[in-house]
Amino acid sequence: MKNKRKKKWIINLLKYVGLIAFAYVFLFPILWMVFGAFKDNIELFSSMSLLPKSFNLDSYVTGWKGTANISFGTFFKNSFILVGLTTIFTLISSILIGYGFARFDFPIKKILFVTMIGTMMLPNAILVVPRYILFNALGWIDTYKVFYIPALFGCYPFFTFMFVQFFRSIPKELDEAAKIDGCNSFRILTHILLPLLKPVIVSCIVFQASWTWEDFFNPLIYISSTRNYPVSLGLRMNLDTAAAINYPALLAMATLSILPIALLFFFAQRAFVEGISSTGLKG
Amino acid sequence: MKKISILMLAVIFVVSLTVTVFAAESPVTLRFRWWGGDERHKATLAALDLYKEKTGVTVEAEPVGWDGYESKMMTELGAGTAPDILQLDQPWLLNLIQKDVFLDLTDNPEIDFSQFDQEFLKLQCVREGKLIGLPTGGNSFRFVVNKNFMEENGIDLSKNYTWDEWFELGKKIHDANPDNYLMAWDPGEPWKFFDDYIRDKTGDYIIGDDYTVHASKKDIVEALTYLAMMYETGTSLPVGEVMPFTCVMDTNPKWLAGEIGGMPDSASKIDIWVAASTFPIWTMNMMVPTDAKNTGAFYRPSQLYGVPNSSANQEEAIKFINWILTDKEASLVQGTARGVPIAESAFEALKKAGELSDITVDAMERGIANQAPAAPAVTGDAEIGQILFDAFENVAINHDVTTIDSIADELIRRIQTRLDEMKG
Amino acid sequence: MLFNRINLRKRGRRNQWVGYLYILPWLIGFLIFQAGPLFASLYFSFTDYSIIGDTNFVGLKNYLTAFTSDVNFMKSLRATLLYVFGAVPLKLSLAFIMALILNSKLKGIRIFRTAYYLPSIMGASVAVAILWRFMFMKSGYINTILGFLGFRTFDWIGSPSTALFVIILISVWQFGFAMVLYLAALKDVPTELYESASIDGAGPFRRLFSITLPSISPVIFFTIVMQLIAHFQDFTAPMIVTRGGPLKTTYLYGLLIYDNAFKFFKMGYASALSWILFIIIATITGIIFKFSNVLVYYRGGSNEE
Repeated sequence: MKNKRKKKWIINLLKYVGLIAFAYVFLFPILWMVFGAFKDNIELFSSMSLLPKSFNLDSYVTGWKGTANISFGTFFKNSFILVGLTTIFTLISSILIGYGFARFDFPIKKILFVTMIGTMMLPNAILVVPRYILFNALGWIDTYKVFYIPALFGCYPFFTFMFVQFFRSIPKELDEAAKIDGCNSFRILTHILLPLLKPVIVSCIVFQASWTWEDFFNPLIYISSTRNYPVSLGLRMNLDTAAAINYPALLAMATLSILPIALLFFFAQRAFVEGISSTGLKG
Repeated sequence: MKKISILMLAVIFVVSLTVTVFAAESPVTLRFRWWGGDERHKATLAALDLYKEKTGVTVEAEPVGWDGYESKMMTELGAGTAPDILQLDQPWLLNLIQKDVFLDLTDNPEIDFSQFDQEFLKLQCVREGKLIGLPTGGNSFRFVVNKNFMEENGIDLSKNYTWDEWFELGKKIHDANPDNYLMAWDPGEPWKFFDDYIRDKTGDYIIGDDYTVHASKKDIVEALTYLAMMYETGTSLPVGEVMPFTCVMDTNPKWLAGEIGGMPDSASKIDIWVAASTFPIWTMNMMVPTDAKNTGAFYRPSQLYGVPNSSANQEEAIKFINWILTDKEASLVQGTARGVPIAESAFEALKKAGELSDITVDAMERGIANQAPAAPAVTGDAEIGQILFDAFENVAINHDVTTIDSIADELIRRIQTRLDEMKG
Repeated sequence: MLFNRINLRKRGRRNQWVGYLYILPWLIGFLIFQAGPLFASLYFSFTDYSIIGDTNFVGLKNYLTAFTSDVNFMKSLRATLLYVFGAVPLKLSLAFIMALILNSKLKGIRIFRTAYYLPSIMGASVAVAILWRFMFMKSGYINTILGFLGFRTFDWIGSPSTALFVIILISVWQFGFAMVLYLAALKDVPTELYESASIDGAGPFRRLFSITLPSISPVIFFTIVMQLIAHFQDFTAPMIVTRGGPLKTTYLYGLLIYDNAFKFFKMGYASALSWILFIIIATITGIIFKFSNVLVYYRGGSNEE
């Protein structure tokens, strides 16, 4: 008995060692970024050691002030609004549209589905200018409507497709059973299917939040006032090849900018821990 | 009836009078976008505050970084939503003028042309007879050096070295210590080695504004051969080690360790080098071919300001540009945020106030005195830059002299194709 | 029998309309926000559109140029194919293995999952560029370690033969997204299946191949398709770390399009390049969808896609 416990303990220890070692190698660039915020320009690029000579928060203070009288407080606020709205709307529309494609049969469904997948196969770069002209006509330039309204209308097919696949991995028998009990399609969605897909919902939220948060090019084109800039643009506002760059301050702000998403992911994992061990079917 | 119509007229009169008065008094807001770093942003914003104090005109600032500036500008120009004043880069001028999207400022009454060097404007800013941008400052191309390194190796900072002499020195230094390199060449900068080599050797640039290739194949081959030698002899740090740091060589560990002698760079970046390095910095003239027809170095406007056709406040915008470029107080407030000002009064004001560092003044004055002929407008084309870079990279990475002939052929062919395309 | 058939038809017809209702947001979104720009770009591919100035119709000239006179087109295509078929299998395999490992109830597993997910949210920040340069340059961190261990060092970013490997590595480094999806999918596999298989004497590998993989095959399929589509268009890593070099060995197709669109402002040509890419991606995706009938198992039934 004791031997078995000891063996398990050793195996667990080895697992931890392995995970930590791999994590160290894996995260090295990020660690370098985090510690880099405590160095100065010269130490940053000439020293091989990961740890800084001293720890002080100067770079964070300097970096936070931002550029041109706009602090990172404003940039973070903007990012939260932009990302929050876009993510929620993406989630809602992807679930509804995904449900439609996954569980229903209607004429030309295949063609529509293929078209939706097809829209992802064209690079954004060449669509940006026509879209700018469209959004300008709608008066949405320099607002976040450019992001969250298309999100509400299924313009992020990645997530729709994702939900389609997850819906299809749930047996239809569950739907049938609920229908016999008198549920309409919407109730089936909300009471039967969605509870089974908590991890997927969380994934959708985390992914869309990450992507929208770090998106540089789209906000660059569609947002013109610097006070509406999200963090991704704020980080680059004072980067010019002809200018002296305060790299530690840059790294400090870059570190801060991945914190919200990292925290979101960390706390969102409860949905992954709560496993669904049974689909509730008998036999 | 009559009473009512007179009343009506009176009302209309009063209303229109009020409207006119208010319209005339409604404050003008200009949108002004520029790229730069922290220093420039701060300095420019100070100038904008000053302008508001003096004229009551609000200038809404859009300070941004260099990344994506051109893409955004072009998108907005295409949709007609660009800011009233835009900072421009000289290479963009030809294309913008050909597409007719900016105001032609020639002979504009709001501008004090006496402040600007007419020759400079004509050769560096005017394209196809039109002037769409006024220069903010001038930038000259120098060879920035690590003073200690150069002194240790007996390099004379006041001499004009020829490439032959330079390579001899480079080989000696590198052979003695394989970690050391006399120089590094950053191919990401617009000044291409063999482009300048040909200009210095023949007195003319590789291409001209008549949309043809001016240089002979023999000259191009010679230039490429010298380029190969720059790497063969160990004079220059290998391209593979420079590319990751293109345009930010001041963060290159080898430089910081004092293992590199010097680098070509623009005078405007001297302060960056000084701040980044733990050893003293100075500048020297660029190297030239033997029997060079030209020994001057590249000199060009740092940036320019222009007003798009779509601006709703054209007159105010032009007034603003004139003020920010020529007004003495404006220049004092901005300092050297955009290089050394071109406008006479601005430059003098800064010099008098002691705002220019010794090394900058020296670099600028030597640079101005030692100018190369202005580059043709077509050299600003991004695709031509890419073509020249490709040829450069080919030679720099392999430095195999047997391939130079075919590289030269391909270079000429590709440039001519692009020039034909530009002629349209 | 007849009664059943009538019921089926009735149910089928009723389903139709509701289905349209659910996908209505996409229909509206597509028509307003996507169809216009898509057709505009197709039109532009037959012109010399350069955002400002006149636009002239040039027929198939752009498409011909790509295949005949653009020296970078073929190089870019080759680099991209190597990148796609190098990075995607590596990335997804690693993601799957890590998902299996991290699907445990070990204490603090949440921290590890977050740790391995972090690189994926780094995106294209300036920090990433600096970090990878610092790691892989000739005098960089990786070489320092390799040298210390007595291995040969390479100029990873500076040499044409190794630069693409670094770019692939950056992509693989960001496997977090796929890993999270696999974790989510693994949660959905009913443990009773594992239990009964164990009772029947199936070992861990047998369980993996007969239960795990088939159960999460819809998600694996999804990640394969999406990663392929995405990787064909990727360009941020080469743009900020190697600038497409050296000698265009990391000049991914997405970067070729971006340069033509926003560096040379040859939007017409960039559009043509994009539609060529579209055809390539669509073809490969189509082939994979055809295979899905054989390889993907949907517990929700009916493999008609």
